Amino acid sequence: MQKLFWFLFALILTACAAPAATPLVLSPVIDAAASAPNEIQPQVTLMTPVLAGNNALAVQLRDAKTGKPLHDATVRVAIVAPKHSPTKSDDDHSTVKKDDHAKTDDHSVTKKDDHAKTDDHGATKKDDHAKTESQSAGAKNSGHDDGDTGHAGKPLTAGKSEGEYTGQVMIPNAGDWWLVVQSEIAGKEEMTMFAVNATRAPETWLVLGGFLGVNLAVIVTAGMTKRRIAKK
Amino acid sequence: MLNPKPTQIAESDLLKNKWISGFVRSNWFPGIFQWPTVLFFALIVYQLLFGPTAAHDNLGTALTWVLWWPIIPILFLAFGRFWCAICPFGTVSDVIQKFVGHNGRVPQFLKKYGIWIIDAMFILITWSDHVWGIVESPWGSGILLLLITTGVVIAAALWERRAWCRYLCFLGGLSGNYARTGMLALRATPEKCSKCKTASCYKGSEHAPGCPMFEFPRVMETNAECNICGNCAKSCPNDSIRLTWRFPTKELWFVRKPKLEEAFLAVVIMGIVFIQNVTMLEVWRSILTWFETASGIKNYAITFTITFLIAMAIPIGLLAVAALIARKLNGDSLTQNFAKFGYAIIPLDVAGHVAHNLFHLLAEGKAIVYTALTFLGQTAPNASPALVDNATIQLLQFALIGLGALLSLYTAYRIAHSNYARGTSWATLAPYAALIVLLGVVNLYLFMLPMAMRM
Repeated sequence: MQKLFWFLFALILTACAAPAATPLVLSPVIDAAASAPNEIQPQVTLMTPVLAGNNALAVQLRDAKTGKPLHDATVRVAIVAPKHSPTKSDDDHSTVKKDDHAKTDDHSVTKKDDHAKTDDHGATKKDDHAKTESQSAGAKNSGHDDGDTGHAGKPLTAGKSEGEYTGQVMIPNAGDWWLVVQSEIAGKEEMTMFAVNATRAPETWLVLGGFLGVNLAVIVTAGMTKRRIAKK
Repeated sequence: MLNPKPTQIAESDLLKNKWISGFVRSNWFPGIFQWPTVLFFALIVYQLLFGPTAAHDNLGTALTWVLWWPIIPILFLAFGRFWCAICPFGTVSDVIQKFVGHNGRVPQFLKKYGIWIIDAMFILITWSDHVWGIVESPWGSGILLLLITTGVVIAAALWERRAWCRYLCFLGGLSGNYARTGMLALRATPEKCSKCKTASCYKGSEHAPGCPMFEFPRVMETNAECNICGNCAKSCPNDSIRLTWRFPTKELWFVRKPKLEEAFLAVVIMGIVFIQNVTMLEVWRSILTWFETASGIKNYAITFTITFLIAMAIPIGLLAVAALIARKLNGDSLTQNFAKFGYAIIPLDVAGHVAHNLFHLLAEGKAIVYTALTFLGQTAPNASPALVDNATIQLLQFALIGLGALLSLYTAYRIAHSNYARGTSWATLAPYAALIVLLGVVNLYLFMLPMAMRM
């Protein structure tokens, strides 16, 4: 009995222990068919594990030729499903110019305002009025309209080091995604794609396992005691 | 008074129709509706917990908050509490109870305070939605459903019949109140019941179990707790059960034993409809900012709790003021007045609830199709999720509020006339009529303001 207790204790501790967060530098998806090489070279860093939901990220912009950090840029990020990528096909064509005007799914971009609060599962709370419908004015519905990546979310804010921009990105679900970084300096815009894989938060399984355990325990206990009562 | 004369029933009794009667008394009913809802429920829970984390893309969110929640008050209005008969939680309860249930007696405190627990849970869930964003979070919605499932499993394992549905379900109070406005009524025939010695409708028979909602049709005066599951019709050896259509809200005109807790819930729902509307308005941000500046409190949970309490207290306070005025005119106590006329608010509650959710259903309705397409691996079209334009929705909302206010006024009139002498009844009606008009105007004003979407 004691052994079972310590085994369960160790099991719970192991399950609860969150893996230490380490920085992960994303690799850009190579665009073999790009007409011209990019002049802006972004480097994206996310903290591991990358989870479905909101993730903090940092984008370091450098000049592709000189390697110097680029400041005064406007940087926006968006998450797109690989099949909805802003490239013209689903193959390796990833780094594209802004003037391609390809469509991406802007639902995944976190539209946080001052009042917005997000939980670990990427949910925005009531006071996030990012999607507001004007009934009286009959404004356009914000629902499923896909937007241009050029207007994807708020720009990231300047970070501590030169050429660094930080913010959050919301990944809709566990699985493979492409993260699109759109950089703009002095009217010149470029987009670069990065492959990213998100996993489900470990607490998810703990919570679901807890619910399953409690319900099963109730059912099994009720079944066993009912049988005992019936025998008596 | 609530039991219509047998001759009147015979003319409109749906169970006199051999097709309807055969169907309701068959083993297919209500199972044929129960199992599809269980399958949908499983799909919804799966999507909420394992689907896209963004509510906007989640089929579970769309099915729960854009489809189910908006149509539920309409179902109560049309078919009474029939939804409760086919609710997946009820089915889970039935299955657990059948195999492992102890069928213990429901504790006395639940019977006595159940409706207050229901009221408190409904308020708590509404509050937590605003503070933790349950509707906007598929995960939050999924956890809510799992919590309810756990409660249902525990109640089914411990207690007899559908104890959860009757005494604990957070939706029970709302559905009970709304079902009173319902167009479908189930009653027994007093002449036949007076000779009955079996009470099979309550106890059950070899044909069906007893009433799952602890109701005894022989003395039933309200549809607030009747699921229309058909068990009583199957079990009754005297063919006493009648199923009739009635004018919406008619039951509210003749409530013989008004209960304070039910009247309280009616006005609380009005406050909740207000807060649901206000927090979805663009002006909500300004109100919140002003409140934060004025009070110095920056914590959203605290500021929302305060505004939530104020929003709920306003209709309660207004009804109390109306009851206070009426008390001087009709001689009844404040509590009696409050309890009697609280029921008159219910039609406006239903109208406000339907009108609010009509926006979500009609302005976001196509989201159900789009998220379903995504779920099936298809590409959703890049189009608006609206089914109709906003002007049409607003027109429907105004019409609903107008209709609700009229029905509330008429209910107040009938309550006044069935309780007091002619001169007193008109004087009693005046403060309540003024209150209903005021609540109607506030509702109309709120629906004129721009509103946010759920998905």
